Formats: sequence, C-alpha cells, structure tokens
Amino acid sequence: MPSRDFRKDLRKDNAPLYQWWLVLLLAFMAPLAVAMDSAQLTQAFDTQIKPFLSTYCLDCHNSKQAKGDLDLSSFTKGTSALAPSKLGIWKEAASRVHATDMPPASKPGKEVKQPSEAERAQFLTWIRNIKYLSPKDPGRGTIRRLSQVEYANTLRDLLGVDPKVASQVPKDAIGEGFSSSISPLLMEKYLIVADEILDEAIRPEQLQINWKAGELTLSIAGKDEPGKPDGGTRTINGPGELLTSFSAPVDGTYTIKVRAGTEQVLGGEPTRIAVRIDNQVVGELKITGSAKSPRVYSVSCKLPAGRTKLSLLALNPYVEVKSEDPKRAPQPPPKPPAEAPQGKDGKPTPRQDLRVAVIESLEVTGPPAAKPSEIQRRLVIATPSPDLSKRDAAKQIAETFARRAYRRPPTTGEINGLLKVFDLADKQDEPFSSSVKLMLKAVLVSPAFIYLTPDDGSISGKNDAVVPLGDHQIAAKLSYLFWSTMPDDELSALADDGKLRDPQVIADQVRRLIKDPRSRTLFDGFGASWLGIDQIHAVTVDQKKFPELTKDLRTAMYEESAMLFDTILRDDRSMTEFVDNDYTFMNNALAKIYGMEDRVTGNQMKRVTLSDRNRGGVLTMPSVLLVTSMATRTSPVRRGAWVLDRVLGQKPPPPPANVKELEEQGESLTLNLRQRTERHRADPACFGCHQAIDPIGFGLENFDILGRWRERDDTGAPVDSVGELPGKQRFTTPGELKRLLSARKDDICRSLVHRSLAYALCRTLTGYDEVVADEIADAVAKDGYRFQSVWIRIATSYPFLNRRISR
Amino acid sequence: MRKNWLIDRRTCLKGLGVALALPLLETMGWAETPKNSGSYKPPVRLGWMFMPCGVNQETFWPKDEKDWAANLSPAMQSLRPFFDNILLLDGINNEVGFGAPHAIELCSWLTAEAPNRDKRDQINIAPSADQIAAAHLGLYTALPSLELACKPDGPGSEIRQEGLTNRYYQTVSFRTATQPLPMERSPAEVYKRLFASRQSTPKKKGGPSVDAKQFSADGGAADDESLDRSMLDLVRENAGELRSRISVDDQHQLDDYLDSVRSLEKRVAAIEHQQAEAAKEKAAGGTSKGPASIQRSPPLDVKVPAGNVKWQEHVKVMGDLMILAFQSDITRVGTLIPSHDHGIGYEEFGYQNHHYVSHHEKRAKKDFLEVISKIDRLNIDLFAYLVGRMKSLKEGPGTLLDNVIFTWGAGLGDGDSHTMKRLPTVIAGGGGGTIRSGRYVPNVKGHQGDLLTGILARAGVPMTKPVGRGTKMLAELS
Repeated sequence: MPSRDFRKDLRKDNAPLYQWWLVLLLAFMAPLAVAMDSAQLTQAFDTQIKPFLSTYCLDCHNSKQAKGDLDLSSFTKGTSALAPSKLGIWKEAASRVHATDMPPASKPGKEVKQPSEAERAQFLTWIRNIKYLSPKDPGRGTIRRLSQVEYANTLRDLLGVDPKVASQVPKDAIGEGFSSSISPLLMEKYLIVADEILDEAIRPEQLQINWKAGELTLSIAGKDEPGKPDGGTRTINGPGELLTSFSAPVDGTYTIKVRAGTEQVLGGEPTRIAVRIDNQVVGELKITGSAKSPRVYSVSCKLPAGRTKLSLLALNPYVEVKSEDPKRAPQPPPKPPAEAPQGKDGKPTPRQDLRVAVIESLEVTGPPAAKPSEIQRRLVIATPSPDLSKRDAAKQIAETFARRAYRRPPTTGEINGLLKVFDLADKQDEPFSSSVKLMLKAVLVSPAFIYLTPDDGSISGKNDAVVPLGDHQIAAKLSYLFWSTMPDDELSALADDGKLRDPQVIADQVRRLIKDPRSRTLFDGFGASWLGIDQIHAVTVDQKKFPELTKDLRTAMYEESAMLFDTILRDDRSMTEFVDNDYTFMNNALAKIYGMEDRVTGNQMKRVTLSDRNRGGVLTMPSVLLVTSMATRTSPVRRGAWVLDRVLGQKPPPPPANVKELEEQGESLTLNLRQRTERHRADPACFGCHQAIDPIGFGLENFDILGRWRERDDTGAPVDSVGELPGKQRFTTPGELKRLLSARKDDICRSLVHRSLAYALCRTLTGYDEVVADEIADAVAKDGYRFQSVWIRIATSYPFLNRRISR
Repeated sequence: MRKNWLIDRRTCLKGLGVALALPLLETMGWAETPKNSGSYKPPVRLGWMFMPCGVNQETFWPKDEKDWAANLSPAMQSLRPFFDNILLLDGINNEVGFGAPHAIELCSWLTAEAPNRDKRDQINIAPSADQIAAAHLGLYTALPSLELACKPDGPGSEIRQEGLTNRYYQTVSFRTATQPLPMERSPAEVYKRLFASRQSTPKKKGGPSVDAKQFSADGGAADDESLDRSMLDLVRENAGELRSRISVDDQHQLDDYLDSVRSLEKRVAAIEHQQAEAAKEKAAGGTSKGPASIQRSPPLDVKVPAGNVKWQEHVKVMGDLMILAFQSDITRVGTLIPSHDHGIGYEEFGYQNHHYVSHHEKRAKKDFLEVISKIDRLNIDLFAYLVGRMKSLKEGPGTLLDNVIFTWGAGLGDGDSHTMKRLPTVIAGGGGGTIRSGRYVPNVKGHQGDLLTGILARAGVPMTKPVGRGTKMLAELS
C-alpha cells in the first residue's frame, strides 16, 4: 500500500521527495484506504451482517428483551443501520465482539452458539470500515484557551514569576471534555493575577513633573483663572492659590520645588507661600529673591500612593494682615477688601501695600527610584530619552512583549490597540512606568494571550475550507502538548523562519521536546488522567484501617507511575512495558508497600529491578490499585473494568439502571470468589460484561488497597487468583495474567493511541479522527510499538496540522 | 406573550405585590430605596443547597399532613426550631427524558433541562435558574452570584456515563447553555473575593488642571471610570481585530470571552463603588450599608480556616460565607454544593460511599437504608445550621431569613430506582412575604422548572418564559 511507503519515508532525510509524497498522499490517502464505499457497506449489511446478527445477537438484543438497552432488530436494511446517529452502536459492538465476550459463551442453562473466527473477522471488518464514510476533515478549528497549568507555566516562562501566582485560578484539565469557555470568575482571576505580578514587578522610576506656573489654574477668591498652555510666570497679587495635581506612584518622600521671586516687600516681612497637599499645609516658603532673579525653594514631605492635589497659597498678601502663626494653617484665603481699587480690566491693580509673589515654575520629584526588578529590566526594554519619545519607547516594549506573550508576531492593529492603552494613562500624566504597566496588564488579559490564536494569515473569502496552521501556531501546539508552556527560543526561531511545516522538522522537534525534562508535564496532563490517578490525593480511604497512607506515600505512588511513563517515553520503549516489565521506582515509603525496605532506603525515588514477576507495570502499581479500590476494601470489579477500559480500550458499559453492581453489595463479601463469579454467571444481565471484568479483577486480589501483597482477602479467605480470560486463556498468578494481557499488543497500542490523539486534539474523537487514530496505531505497530512514534505521528497528523474554518 | 404558563396572574400579583408586572427597579428595595422613605423593603435573596443520590423517602417526608410539625420526620428533626419558616413541597418531579440519571442529577437540578443529546462531549444544556436570577438581581451587587462547592471536581477524570463530558459532574450553574461556571472551593479565596479591594487610579478629566470634584468628600472619583476599566474597554475593542480573522466557531469562543470581560468591567466598577461607599461610611462613622433607619445585626462572624478542614466544617464555613454575602448585600444569589454524585464517602458513617448505599435494592437492604437516613439527616442538619444563622440576623422588622428563599434539595427522588420524581424539596425563608411557609404540601403537581420559575418570579426576576421544561409557575409556594 502506498501509505506504507509514506511511513517509511518519515524516517528518511530525503525531505523534498518526502514532502512531495506527503502532498500526494494526504490528498489520496483517505479514498485509497476505503475498502468499501457507502454502497458496498450497505450491501454488505444485507448479505453478511444481517445474517450474523440474527444468528448470534437477536436472541437477546431484540425489541422485546433489548438486553443492555440494545435492540438490533430494527436494523432491517443497511441504510437504517448506517444512519449517522446509530454509528456509536457499531463501535461498541466491535469492541465487544473483538474481545470475544459477545456473544457470551453461555446463558443460564445452555451454551450459546459462537461465531467462527472468520465470521467474527468479517463482522469486525465491516464495522471498522464504517468510519471511512466520514469525509476527510481536520475538525473544527476552534481557538483554545490555556488550561490552569498552562497559564501558570506560561507566566513562569514569560515573566520569570513563581507559577504559584496562578494557583487561585480554577483548576481544569486539557483533553477530552476541556471547555474553552471563560467565565466571569476566570476573567476576574486573570486580572487579579496580572495585577499581582505587575504591581510587584514594575517598580516606578523616580517621579519628576515640571509645570510652568502659567499653565496652572489660579484660584482667587473662589474664581478660577485657567492656565494657558504657553503660559509664562504667574503673579499672585492677591489672596490666591495656584492649583495642580499629580499621581504619586508609590508611598514615599517627595520634594516640591518652587522657583519664584517677589516684587514688593514692604514692612520688612517676606512674602510667604504655603505648600499644600490635599488642602493640608506641608511646608511654608519665605520668598526673598526678587522677581528678576528668582530662586528655588523646596519642601519635602511623605505622601501615600495615589492622586494628590498640590497647591501654593499666598499666606500674607496684605500688609495689614498681622503676622500669623505660620503653623496655624490651613486657612481660607481672606476675602479681598471691598475698597480694593479696580483696574480698567476689572482685575485688582497692584497696590503699594501688597506683597506680590511671582511664581515661575513648580516641580515635584521623588521618591528616589528603586532598583528595577529583574522582570522590569526584561520587560521595560526602552525608556524615554531626548532621542526617544515616550510613545516610541512604549511601542518597542509592546512589540517585544506581545511577540512572546502572543506566541506569534503581533499584528499592527494589536500593537496600536496596546498603545491606546498606554495613551490612556500617559495622557493624564501617569509616570511612564505606570502607563507601561497598564499596557502590559492589557496584554495579560488579551484574548491573544489567553487563547492559542492563529497566525495572521488572511482567511478572508474562504468559507468552509481546510487551512493549514501557521508556523507559529504549530510551534505553540507542540510546546503546549509536550511542555504545557509557551514555545522556547528554538521553536520560535523555527517558526519565524517558516520551517515548522516540514514533518521532518516537526519529528525532530518532538524528539527534542520529549528529551527535555519539561516533558514531564505530559504525564501530569495526559498520563495521570489516563491512569486515573490525577486525583490520587483526593481518594477517600478509611484512615483508621490504613494509617500508612500518608500524603507522602500518595505522592510517592504518583511519582512511581510518572517515572515509568517518563522512562518509556524518553527511552522510546515499547508501550507493552506499561503492562509488564521488570523494573519500577520507589523510595523508602513505597518500598514498605513492596516489601523491599531492605533494598531501598531514603526519601529519593530510585529505579529498582524487580525479581518478583508479579510486580512491574501499571496493573500492579500501588497508585492504580489504590484509585480502583473502595474506602475500606478492594474492588475486583473496579480493577477489572479499569484494565479493560484503560489498558485494552474496551470500556464496559455502566450496569443497567435496574441492576446492581453485584460486587459492590455488602453481602457479597461473605462469599468467596467462586460463589461471586457464579452469581454473576447466574444473571445474564450481569454475565455479558462480568465474564470479562471479573477474572481480571479477581486475578489482582493478591494486592490490598495500598498495593501490598497478601495471601488472604478482605474477608480473611485465602486469595484464589486462578482465572480464565475469554478464549480459554488460563492464568494462576497476577504475573501470568499480566503476560497474557501484555501479549495483546495491538489492543494496548490502539487504546493508547486513541487516548493520546484525543488529548492532543483536545476533543472526543469522531468520524475522520478515528481513521487517523487507526492508521497511526497500525504504523506504530510496525515501529515496534515505540511510544515516541505515537507522538511524532500525532504531531505530524492531518487533524493536528490543519483546521476547518466556516464563516 | 404565551399565557398558558402564567396560570393565575392575580394570585401572583397578590403574592408578589407588583413584582411581576413592574420592571425590576421597583421590586427591589435595598440600596435603591430613597434613604428616608419609610416604605422600603429589603431585597429577596436566593440560595440553593444540593444533595446527590436521592433520599430514603420513608424517613424523609412527614407521615401526616396536619400534624407534620409536631411529628417531624426523622430526617428533619433539626428543623424543629424553624418549622414555621419552612415549606415542604412533596411531589416535584424533574423528568427531562434522559438516561444516566447520576450524570445529570447535578446539571439538571437548576436547569430543569437535559443535556443536548447530539453534543455530549461539550456542555450544551440551558441556563440555570440561579444564573437567570443573577442576570437581573446581580445588577445591584458587587458579585452577580456565588457558586460554592466543598468537594473536588467530580469522580476523577473518566465517568462519562452516556458519553457525557465530565464537566456535567462539576457544576450546577450554567450562565448560558454552553457556559458552565466553575465552583469555588477555597473559603479563603471566596472571602478574598467577597471583600475584594483594588488600587484604582481614577480616569481624570482634562489636562493638568484640577477638577475639584475629584477631591470632594463624597468622592466623584469612584463613580468616574478608573484606568483599569478603560483599559478593559479598550481590550474588548481591540479584540475586534482578532475576531475578523478567525472562523465562526472561534468567534463563538471569543464572544464568550468578550462577554466575560464586560462582566469584569462591571465587577471592577462595583468593587470601586463598594470601596468608595465603605470609605464614605467610615468617614461618617457608620458601619453598615443600607438605609440608616433600618435595624441590622453586625456582620456575621465567619472564621475562615487556613488549611484543610473536615467536610462538615467546610460546608458550614462556605454556607456562612454565602450568608455573609447576603447580609452585606454583596450578592443576592448563591448556590452551595456540599457533595456531588460519586463524590463522597461519609467518614461519619464508616466511610460508606453515598452512591453505594443509595442502591438499597428496592428497599431490601435495611442496613443501606439506615445509612441513607443518616446521610439525609446529616445534610439536613447542615441546612438547619445555616437556616439558624439566617434567623439570627436582624434585618428591619424581621430577620434575614424572612427575606431569603433558601432551597435545599436533591437531584434524585430515590437513588436506587434513579427516579426523578418526588424530589426532596425544603424551602426555608419568607421570600420577603412571597412564600407562605410553615406548611407541608403533599401531592404537589409540578415540574422542577415550575418550582424554579415560581421562586425566581417571587424574587422579582422578570420572567418571560418558564425555566427549563417548566410550563407554569408553581402555585403551591404561596
């Protein structure tokens, strides 16, 4: 088949030829792969499948009995059987018939006729061809938001902060069922986190504001005389107050400098001016210089952060005013005397007995600048100078930061939008650092940061079309898949150079990303939820019965699984080692569970070679054995169902609503294994599933809820771990059970590939996705079931690298 | 307007005053009522508290309609001091036509609706009653609503009964058909959120000249837009550019985001307003919000634990926080989910898993039924604790309890048969005079949607259509 050549080529370095093949094959692969088209499938239903159903299935799954809520008798024609809404039934049927637990070997009182291998194969082939009815489709191209973990890690890499800053954001998990929806609560948390980071990181530069006195409003007797932009000096020739305001960026000591002179000094008393902050006098200036040679007078005071009103109040404008106590301020300016002579323009004319202050300029500085933080130095890469306007400096900062935060080059529109935010603060005289801070905050709450968004490729005019992802989006998808964080420099550079659409480059990058310790996040994001141990710390256990189960032990259990996953992934080993191998990892706490405390001491997890062949692999790992137990005892049914679902990819359906999970009933505890199995056998409603579940579950009864070996079960009865899997495969120990199961390489591979692809695409696989998953599984099998091969093929797959847009 | 579900308009008007007929503003009375008017009414607050897996119907309901208060059922003993403040509605059903009852008992409880069968891998259901209420009552408060839970999300990662996404196991609140709201679990985080403060820089008008109003004592500043709010406004505006180059599906995601940014702007404004009000009150020497003429208790004393707490303590402190938020009018809508299906093994009763014992095999397993009765009672005890707290808080001539509609209920009637008939429903509080409490009403004929519609209308939410699959407004409330 041509598709085999394509896969072989994947490992060749002949890139140009390979790409040519790729184009050709992507275009034709799906049609070639279809063994039967729609008409053939319909016809095959009538000639092959319908007879199969009536011979082997309709006895139970008919309109009267409908065992397992399934009535197959309504499918009279291929067209009705292949209605899109019915396809799930066939998927389920395939898994059951393949596992040979359907039809059941016997019903109460009689043997059930079994299909031949050839009949089974024909039935399965028909079902497996159904998916090819789905048109080739990469799936909806929805933008996806960052998960809590991804958000935290991205902040770490983007800003150098502790990812714990994001721990207040609601937890969630990538994979099937992930919702990109952003609730108001989530949005609020994004803003709070941005606040917390930036308030801490951006330390303001020293404030320095200078006003020409003529720009400022002069208030005389409640009347405001507005300043002019080109104003020069201000002459306070009456009971006036010169007003302005500024924003103190931090708490601290500020210095207010006034450059001023006086024009008339009569009676020997100098002109006095009060410096007021929010109407409180903070200092008094005695103006002694002349208007022609003004001097600088200064006052220092402590101010809280925030907007502040600053004013200069003439304290002794009149000769007649008796010398006051200068400390006794504030005082309202006295009213002008009624007999004050009016000039022609209505303004009071200077009188001989007035003191006149001529204010030239006003300046606020302070507090001494803090040393910029590390983050600040990295973010604020430009500062205004005579050669660089504030806005241009802000633009440089925005462009550099947004490129990293958005994981792609920002568009001109996006930069202009950020500069508008800068202007917002800058226009009201916020210090440069504050204006920049507001702009950076806008980046951290922007959709381009919160979501993974496409490159700026124009898709205008395209409707219902498939478009390839841009290089930067590929870089981000790879990085988030393997590291749960933003792309590093190497990935970014490859994206900038437009090299990431080359599958060979992607394959090399996947290997590099996996090799890096950061790929540990693939276990935390994918592996732990595959094994069902992501909530291991929340599992309820009877603490009186199992006081050994400390937080540290739970952590060690989780780490053991993580290290096995990492080993198989990084060393590119066969996935069958998940089921059976001869090594594991433990520290002293875990060694007690294994009964190996003589060999392992200390808190550190170490790799250990296992001589006990009942151990090794996820089936007999304490983490898995714990999460599949009840609070007080083991549950063979849960364990058996877990193995079928997680390892072999045959999810047993939930028990019918009116039937109890027999195993979970208290009285069954008084029965031994054989009796229990008999009870499941006795009830046909149970037997269909339990003939597959029970043997596996009881085969693991040698392990208690913490994973310790035992010879007697929870009732005190001797454990009987002898059993038989469908197909007359007998085993006598957990080790033999594991080896029987690990021989089912294709099932293990297919199951794990389907789960991995669903995780990578962040959706439930449907239609064409399943075609892709099966093809990947086939190819991985040819590669010796190596785990890296799964991820390389996923990362170069059609649905991973393309998206459908509809407008 | 379709009239069929508005069965008895006059009954409603009598019960509600003018709530149904008039727009929202007139029905509410807390901050909105002129300060010196004597005719003011505290607002109605809505609370919900959930239990999964159904109840032991035998020990849950009173045996006797007339003497029910004297002979309280075993489950309700702790409600004895409040028998006059509660209303037991026996007979509500929430049948929504969907299998997998455990998967939907949480998500259908306040939606009275079933998940969309064709989109099981995504959330696609209906807005929940608390969120319909929050959209209106939330306009007045710093937080539109509170969603609180006491257990980690769901049963690990993979139950997915009937192919439904696990997200259906995680929340009871849906802002829209497709937007589930996360539940908050950390008391400390909730406390922080209730009393959030922000360092905001007011947006100044004009240049360096002074607008004296910004500094006046009764602060124009807080009501002016702050820089943060203007920034969010711009972020929203700027998102339009991204919107123009993504697909329709992506645009739906983005609209979700834009909507949440808009809520955040309102939220920031509310926080700033709250801060300004508090500053004003501090300046004036007062301590409580609301008209000075109204007698009110000091704020409920809530101790927020620092680390992990036992489940019962966790439920109590979350409930207390909800009550504190009601009392201080930080929100008027709250949901509290102490446990959800598959979620809890009761340490109190030998780590019996709730779901496990709920399968009593058509009442054959007496020991299971006994445990279910104990679990029912423990959950009602916790509810009664919170009812008592509400009753201890003075509010005007009455108590906070007089002005709430606080519903305790379960998503299933019976955990064994998975029936969604005869849902346990206990309503505490007077709803500002709209609920006729002190009654046990057997044989109620109505859907959960009818009940929710009736509750919302009584809180002054203008209802243009019934909630979920409801068809009418439940008359038995008053």
